[in-house]
Amino acid sequence: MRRRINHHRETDTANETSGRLQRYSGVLGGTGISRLITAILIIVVLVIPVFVKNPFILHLLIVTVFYAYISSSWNIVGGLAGQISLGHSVYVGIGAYTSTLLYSVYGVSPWIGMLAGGILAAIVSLIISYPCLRLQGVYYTLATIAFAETFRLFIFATERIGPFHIKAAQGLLVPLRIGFINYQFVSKAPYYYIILVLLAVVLTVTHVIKKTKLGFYLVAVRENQSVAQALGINTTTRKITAAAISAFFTGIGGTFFAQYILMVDPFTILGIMLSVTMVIMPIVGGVYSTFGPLLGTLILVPISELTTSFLGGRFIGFNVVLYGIAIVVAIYFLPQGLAGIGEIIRTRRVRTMDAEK
Amino acid sequence: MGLLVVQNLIAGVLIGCVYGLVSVGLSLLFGVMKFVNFAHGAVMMLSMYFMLIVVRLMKIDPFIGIIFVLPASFFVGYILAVVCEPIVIRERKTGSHTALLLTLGLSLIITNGAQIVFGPEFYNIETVLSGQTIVLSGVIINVGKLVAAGITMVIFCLVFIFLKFTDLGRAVRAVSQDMDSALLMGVGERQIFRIGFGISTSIVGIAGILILPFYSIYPTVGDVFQLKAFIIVILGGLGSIMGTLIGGLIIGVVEALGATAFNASYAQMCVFAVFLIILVLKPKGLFGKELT
Amino acid sequence: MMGVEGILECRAVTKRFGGLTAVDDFTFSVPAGHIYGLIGPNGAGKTTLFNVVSGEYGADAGEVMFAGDTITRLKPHRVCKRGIGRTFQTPRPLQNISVLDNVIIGAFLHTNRLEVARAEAYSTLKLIGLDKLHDRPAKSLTVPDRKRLEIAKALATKPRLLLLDEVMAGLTPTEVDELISLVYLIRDRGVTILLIEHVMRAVINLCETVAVMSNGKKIAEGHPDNIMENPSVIEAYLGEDYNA
Repeated sequence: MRRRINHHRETDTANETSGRLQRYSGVLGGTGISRLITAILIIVVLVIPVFVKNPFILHLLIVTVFYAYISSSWNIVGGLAGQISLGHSVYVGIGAYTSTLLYSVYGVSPWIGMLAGGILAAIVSLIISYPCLRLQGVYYTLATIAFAETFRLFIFATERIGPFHIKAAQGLLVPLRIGFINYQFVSKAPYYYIILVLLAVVLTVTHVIKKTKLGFYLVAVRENQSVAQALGINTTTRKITAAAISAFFTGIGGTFFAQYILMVDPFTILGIMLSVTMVIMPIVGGVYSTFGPLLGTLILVPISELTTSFLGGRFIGFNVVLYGIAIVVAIYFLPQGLAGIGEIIRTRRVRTMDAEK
Repeated sequence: MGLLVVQNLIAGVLIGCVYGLVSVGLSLLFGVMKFVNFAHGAVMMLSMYFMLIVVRLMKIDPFIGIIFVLPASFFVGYILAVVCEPIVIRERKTGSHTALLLTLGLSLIITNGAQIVFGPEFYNIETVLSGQTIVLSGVIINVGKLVAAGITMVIFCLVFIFLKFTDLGRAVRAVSQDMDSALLMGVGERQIFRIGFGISTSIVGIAGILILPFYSIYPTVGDVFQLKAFIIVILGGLGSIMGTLIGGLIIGVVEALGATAFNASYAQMCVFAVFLIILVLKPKGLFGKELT
Repeated sequence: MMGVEGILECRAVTKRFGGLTAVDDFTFSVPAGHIYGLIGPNGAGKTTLFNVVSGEYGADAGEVMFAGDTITRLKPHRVCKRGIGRTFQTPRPLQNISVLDNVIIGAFLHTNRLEVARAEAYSTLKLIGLDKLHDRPAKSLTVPDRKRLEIAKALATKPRLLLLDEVMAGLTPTEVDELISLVYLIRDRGVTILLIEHVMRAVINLCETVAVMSNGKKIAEGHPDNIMENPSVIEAYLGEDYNA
């Protein structure tokens, strides 16, 4: 009885609470200022190629944004749905090979090939997902590794399928033909903008999903599957949906990569190292956050590229050692990744505010 | 032609035994204690490089070096267990992913660290058994593989006896149930986890030594065996030691037949195909059982 | 009221695990709008029965009927969609998200729009008395609040039948009283309640009918006042005391 009386006196509506939270942001420096900073950052990012002409730096930027893109694509199934796929490179490969083959054999513009590659990747993910997403945890992960390796070995050992000459280990060269419709450019700047747009798209999609029924349901699936089912969620269909969306965007990334380096072969574009890298960035940056994968990439890729360039030779693989250390440190100290730091600070503030009441 | 098939088949059976040996360590950790160790292959690699140092650098006879591999591998496993423990305790109620990712990270460090220290080159150790073959009615059999298979059988029997009849073995099986429930790990359980880990890595360390007569040493040598080990543990059924041996044999034979019929890459694909079929049709594996 | 089918009917439901028969030829009927209790010593099979009803386990024999439809073979999420909500014996909140988000997920069963789900969830929280804690992470909740959240989650799915599994366990007498009022409140909104309980005060206060389960079988059924004097019931509980 007493509890009910208290409620009438101190009822806190959702509006009042969000007002309180806004006042908290005031303590942190104001929503206005953080918006300004974000705007400045966006402008800087967009304008870089105008001032920076050094091809190495531009290459570094493109590679960084590319990894941010495919990590964010992975995160749709890995972070949002909580299904750790360690075979996502298969979708990169499908995208790359699809667009390249369509282009070199039938002359189809790689822009269309990119969409075709994405769709094909999504279809393949449906085929893989249906048996595998019924499995849980590590079984799913092992199945994804098995599928990816199977695909890689198949490409590695196959010269041609019908009219398509895959050329096995040799790989394919993308026929050089500069021009927008051919998705090839002389300078690096257009590539930079394309991958930036793609990144913005996938981040927006992630953000939107999180605000929809699918997003909420995926959180439940990720946190506790039996609870999710007891709340009426068909966990399998939701996981399959997330996997297909993730595969689609990853496949698109594959085409971009193929068009950027103008070559596809099983070593670069398939293989466990690419799959592992796609997982490490989000883990370090924070799988639960939309920007987590981007954050992880911003930290890890430049360090990786720089160590490879400056150490190189005898120290090949040092960047991977750093990746390993990053993952171990993240799991030990930052389970929510770097993005989780904000959450930790906020929680401490809420606790202090409560204590002061 | 038929002779070639028989030869490959026998080689497949023999290597299948070794696969089983690599897997039984993993079966102990993954199948019994429900812990996913992605650094399993890395330990195998370490034991092989350890022997390399012992033989080449310290000029000690390989057979003496073997005596040190056992405690060294056990020690590595113990350390890994200590490193992983806080995470296991923390993640008791939640995902199984974290152990996987943690050991994956450790594996990356160890494997690439080895590459930096030793270089990516392939090394070979000359032993008494290297290149030795015997011929049985026209079929060539590699002695190294024969010895490896024989020792595998012995170790399998030992592990089986250990789990079934010793106090420690029973304790290990008891811990496996707790790994499922949300109980805090008591001190006794932590010790068992560490010892179990150590046993697991010492077995895979021995496996690394056994393949030296017919396998090269290079940084990622463990990864191939590790992936097959996971397949074999699941194929044989979680918690079943005998299942692991039979799973190993099946994979060895499938691989051999695949290589004979097609080529090496397609043979690997056959292995994965078998794995995926088992996962879908019978996730519990051939001899999977609940350890009650 | 006689002869009318209950909203939940279990007919000869049997569930085995290897050699152990956890639920043995269990038949009972819960009338709509009732508060029905399921009691019995530990290990009697009560939660297993819940799991069979909610679809987590498949019955080896027998049938489960809900509102006239057979639901025996349905998967848990379909059972929930039919209108059966449940709580878990040990509360299972979705730890890392807020209390409100936990309930929103339940509320999404009947809508596709976030605003609608959020409003629904919020009013459910107000009913339960957790609205002040709506933005706290679920893992920060005290035990009695976790139990409330557990009920709120299930309630958000707008069930016609609510399965409560030992919600009173571990609560102080005051907290028990508060939950008793809450259960009445929920029933008054038209939800049939089937509860597993060990806390006798709650059973006597709440339940109109009680079924006693021991070793998987139903050994008694009736009004709570009479049940506790039934000799076979006393024996079943005494047996538990000796083993405890």
